[in-house]
Amino acid sequence: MRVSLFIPCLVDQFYPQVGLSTLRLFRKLGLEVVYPSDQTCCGQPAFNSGYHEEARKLAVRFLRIFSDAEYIVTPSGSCASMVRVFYQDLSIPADLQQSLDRVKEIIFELAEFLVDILKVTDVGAAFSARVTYHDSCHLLRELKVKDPPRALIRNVKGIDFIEMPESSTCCGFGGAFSIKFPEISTAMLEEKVRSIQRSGAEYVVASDAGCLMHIAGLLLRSRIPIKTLHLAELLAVNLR
Amino acid sequence: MAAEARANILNRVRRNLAVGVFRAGTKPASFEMQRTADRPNLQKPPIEVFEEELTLVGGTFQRVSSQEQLCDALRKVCDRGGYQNIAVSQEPLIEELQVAENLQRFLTGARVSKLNSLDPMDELRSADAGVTACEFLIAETGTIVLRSSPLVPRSLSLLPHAHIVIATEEQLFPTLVSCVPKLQHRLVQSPASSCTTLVTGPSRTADIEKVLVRGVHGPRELHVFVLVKSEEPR
Amino acid sequence: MRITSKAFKSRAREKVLDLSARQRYRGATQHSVEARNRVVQDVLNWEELRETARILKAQSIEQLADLLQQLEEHASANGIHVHWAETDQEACNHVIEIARRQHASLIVKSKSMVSEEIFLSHALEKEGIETVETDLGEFIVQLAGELPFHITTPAIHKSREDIGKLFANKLGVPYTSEPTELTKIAREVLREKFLKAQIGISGGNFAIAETGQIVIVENEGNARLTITLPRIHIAILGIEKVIPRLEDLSTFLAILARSATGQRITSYVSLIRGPKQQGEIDGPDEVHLILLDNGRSDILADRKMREVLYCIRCGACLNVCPVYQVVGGHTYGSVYPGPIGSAFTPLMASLEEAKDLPYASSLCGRCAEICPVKIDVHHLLLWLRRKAVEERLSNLFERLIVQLWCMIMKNLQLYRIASKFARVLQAFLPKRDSVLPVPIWSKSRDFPRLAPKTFRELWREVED
Repeated sequence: MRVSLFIPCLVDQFYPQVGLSTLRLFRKLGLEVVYPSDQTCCGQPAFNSGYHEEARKLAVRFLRIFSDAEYIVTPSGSCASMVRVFYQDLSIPADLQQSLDRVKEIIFELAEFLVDILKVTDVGAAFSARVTYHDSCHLLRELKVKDPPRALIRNVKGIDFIEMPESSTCCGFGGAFSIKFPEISTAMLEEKVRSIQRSGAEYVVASDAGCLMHIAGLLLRSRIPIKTLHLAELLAVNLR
Repeated sequence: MAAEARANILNRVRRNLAVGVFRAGTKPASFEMQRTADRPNLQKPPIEVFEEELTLVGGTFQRVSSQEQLCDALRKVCDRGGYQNIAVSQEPLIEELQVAENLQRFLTGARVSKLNSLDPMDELRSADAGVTACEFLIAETGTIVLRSSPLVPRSLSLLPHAHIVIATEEQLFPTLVSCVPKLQHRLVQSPASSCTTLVTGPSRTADIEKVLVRGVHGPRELHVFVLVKSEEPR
Repeated sequence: MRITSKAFKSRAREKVLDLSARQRYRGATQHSVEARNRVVQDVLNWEELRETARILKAQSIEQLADLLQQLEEHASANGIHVHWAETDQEACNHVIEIARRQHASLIVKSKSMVSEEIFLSHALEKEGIETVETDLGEFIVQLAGELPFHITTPAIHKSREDIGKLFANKLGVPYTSEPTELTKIAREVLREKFLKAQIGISGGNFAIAETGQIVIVENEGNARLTITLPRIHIAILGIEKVIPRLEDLSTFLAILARSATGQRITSYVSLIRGPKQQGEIDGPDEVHLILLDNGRSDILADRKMREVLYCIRCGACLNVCPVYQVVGGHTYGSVYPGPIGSAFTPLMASLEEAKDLPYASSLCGRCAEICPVKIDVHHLLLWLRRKAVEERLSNLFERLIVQLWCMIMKNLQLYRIASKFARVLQAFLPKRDSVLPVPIWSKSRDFPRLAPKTFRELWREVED
């Protein structure tokens, strides 16, 4: 099975270790991994701010780069949902329509790929800590992925998994929303951090770098000793 | 000018809808709403379901099997409520059961009126309890369906502090959906009625800090008596 | 529609700082959501019910002209006077005409968002007619001179002490903060008004085309009084409220109360057929139905935005919205706040006046998830953002940034150069706790430093 890796721009620039973890994971599972190195961005930031033209150009570019993939996997719920759910609103040119229809069927976020496609819930990971999980909005409500990440976390050897109250409440990131309405965004983040603290966890795990970046932003600023961890990192850190 | 607004609105609606349909026509217009499978209690006899639901929304329920039992129970409720001024409708069931007469006989000190004076509205305004029959009862929600008519004004179940309803078991329907045909039938019956009201429990509000308070504008007490076993009232 | 949504950002900034108010909104909205969840859990096929409700609404909108004509025909046959109003002004004029004919000096009103949309009380005040809101929450905000805070609980932002003081001040009653006592006071004051008023004005939740009936749902009983005691009853409904058949009502009643207040059904549902019939003791002598357009028919031209008209005003999307929970209802500056309000307001007023509203959302999608008629509220907001850009409402600076960003993302060489350039810049900034000080974000949160090497560079190393 050949997997084409799609790395979100936030991961490329700020959290490359998430990409490396994903790579390690797939290598361990015996998959052939390709990284089309022309890739840059799926276009979501432009789309979410209403810039359809710009988003469309990036979508077209994305489709051209990934058109011959067997599977496309990305450690990001929001990128996967951009392609699967929103590309069809972008007036993709007719000659790429077939490519779009295909790509929609083969693009997955990491957790849903492992559990729903590879049928793997135990990747052989190990990590002794108390962790909680934050449901990213796009992953949960656009892609409807709720149980796969939890199943994967539960099977990590040594893990103590505890649900936080309001795990599915938005962390307040919302892309440009976090700088367009910083006070509202921060207020929402405060509520989220409070929920995380109430869980008693040492780590908060999520499948989206945007959420983790936002949550870490307040944990660090407030000097709260809880750490953020991407699902890919959790699964790959001590692969047996 | 009035005709203009009407024509403009309808034309604009038609013109704008013509740009294309939006996801509307995937199912036939006569799609049947699947009855909500609300809790296991629908397996129980409707009268039990009605009692449960009515009690949950803050009404009281009593089953009676004879006219004597009914009058006894009514008296007790009126006594307990301390009602001084009871208005009673002239609906057939209420007349048959001689409700007003019985109450007047046994509740010394209370005034019982059949709203047949020159100024029935005045009596309605000063009543602290109103007694009516009803069109039918809906078990799944504990609802009473009232239809305004010359015999039962809307204010009777609305102005006083307490509303008392007398019904028979035959009037019980299991669900709202099941009584829609009956509602439709009633609509074209004579005499015409100005308003049909579904009453489910006492008047209530939670507008102040979400604290539940009963008896805002409508009655704060609702008492329902159901005559069972189609025994002919004597 | 008159709005003050331009001040959304500044108001939001203020509201966010009021921690005790935030706690109150959260408590209240959470309470509503829990009640709703409890009563929805009972329904085994809730999703089917939602889908049915959505289809019924969709069909109603797609057949709107025919249904409105049917409604008019049947309502008129039952003695209801049907009026059509293209604008808020026209609707107010209809009411004023009727009020003048009756020499009305006192009007009682039951809850009607549409009446606030058309600024009716303002118009009546100019006529010198006293108008009294009778819904307890609306009565309270009327006394306080404020806009309603929430669609179904207009005064939820006020504590019982606030209300106690308000009543003592404005009604001249002894101070009490006990909800039961306060409610009693309101009941007595308003009962007097009901008995004296010449006209009762209501809204309507549904209008049934097949039978010509107007349907009003409520818990307090003030709507029943409004439509029964005064000689004249005027009902004002948006044209989108019409539904085809009486049997459709059972679907909507099942979802409305559950979504709005966590009840199986509201205390009262009134199906108005017409004025007082021969022999009836009470009921209005005249019933008027005003069908209001005020921009709704224009919304129909945009196929995607049409579904905003499916809204049955349950308020559930407000209750679950994490933004609403933080800023509350007044921030939006519109009669219609919250998620659905953020979609509706720009369409009814103008995108220009309300352009912050579609952006004031993280697009989390909770609104769409809970909507009983399955409106994709957050997707509507995305659609409005697109329109804002197309109409060149976004500021020049933002447009330039986005275009620059797009240029970089389209070209791998540029992307690489920009990556390197950013790291060079970063090297000049003081290295402190691996944090990057950036504008706006860093005011309240830390921002991470760029990783020394991008994934692309690391991949190359791994491969070699």
